[in-house]
Amino acid sequence: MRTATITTIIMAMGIIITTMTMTTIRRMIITMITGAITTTVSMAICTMVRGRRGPRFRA
Amino acid sequence: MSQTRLIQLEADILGKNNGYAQANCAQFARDGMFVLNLVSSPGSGKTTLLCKTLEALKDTLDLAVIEGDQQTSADADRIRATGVPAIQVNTGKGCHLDAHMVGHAVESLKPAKGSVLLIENVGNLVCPAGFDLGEAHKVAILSVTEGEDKPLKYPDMFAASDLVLLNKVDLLPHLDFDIEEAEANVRRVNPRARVLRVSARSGEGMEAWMQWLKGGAMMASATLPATAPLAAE
Repeated sequence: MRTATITTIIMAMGIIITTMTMTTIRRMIITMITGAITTTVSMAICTMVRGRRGPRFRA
Repeated sequence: MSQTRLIQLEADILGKNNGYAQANCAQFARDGMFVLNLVSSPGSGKTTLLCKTLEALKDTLDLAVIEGDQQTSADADRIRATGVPAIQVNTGKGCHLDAHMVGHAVESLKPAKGSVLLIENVGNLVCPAGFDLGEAHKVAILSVTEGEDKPLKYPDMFAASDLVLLNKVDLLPHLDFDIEEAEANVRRVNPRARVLRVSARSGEGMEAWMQWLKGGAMMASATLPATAPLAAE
């Protein structure tokens, strides 16, 4: 849930920035590239933040 | 996946777990610890039984508890309220504790040498039977509200247990549970298992259970070398 939320926010930010600065076909291409990059980066960040799946120890 | 491949995978998982269990077992023996793995279905009264046991024994024995549940630290909180140190292991999607988890929990908990470590496994009568944690004994808890045929339905768990506690016997007058048949079913699956009738709520049979526990703790701590600091004094 948290991963999906962060991914969506970062993707939306990337798309808004690129669409505000570019035009037509270039805008479409760069939007796609930005989306892919932001998704990958955000997934990596989420994995780092959350850590590897496994048991939790509550002392 | 072929059946052959499936069997191989299971053997590999249990083999890895057994390696960790052996390491735990060696550590427990070195530290003179008496370690029990409490297993049962959910709702059998493990935590209540444990709390009553800890309250009765905390002044005479060094005790520590590892609590296993999929989520929440409710059980560990109940244990800590008795004054005994406890660590909660949330297994997430897992349906049992394994030896690797227990090893890490022991590192965090740091139980004293010669202590009694009680591991309350995830409520489940199937998977925990196959996963050795390095404990001295598995103790199965069967409450009289569950049905006397449980040992026949889940034979692996009762076959792997050295002690079976028939819990909540104070409720017997209100139930159709045939306790003689339940004991006979346990013995059909595991003739060596000792069966004790207990009630954590009324205290019935608790003395026998605690005597058994104290006996085991005494035997385990006897393997420790003579207490060097005391001898030096």
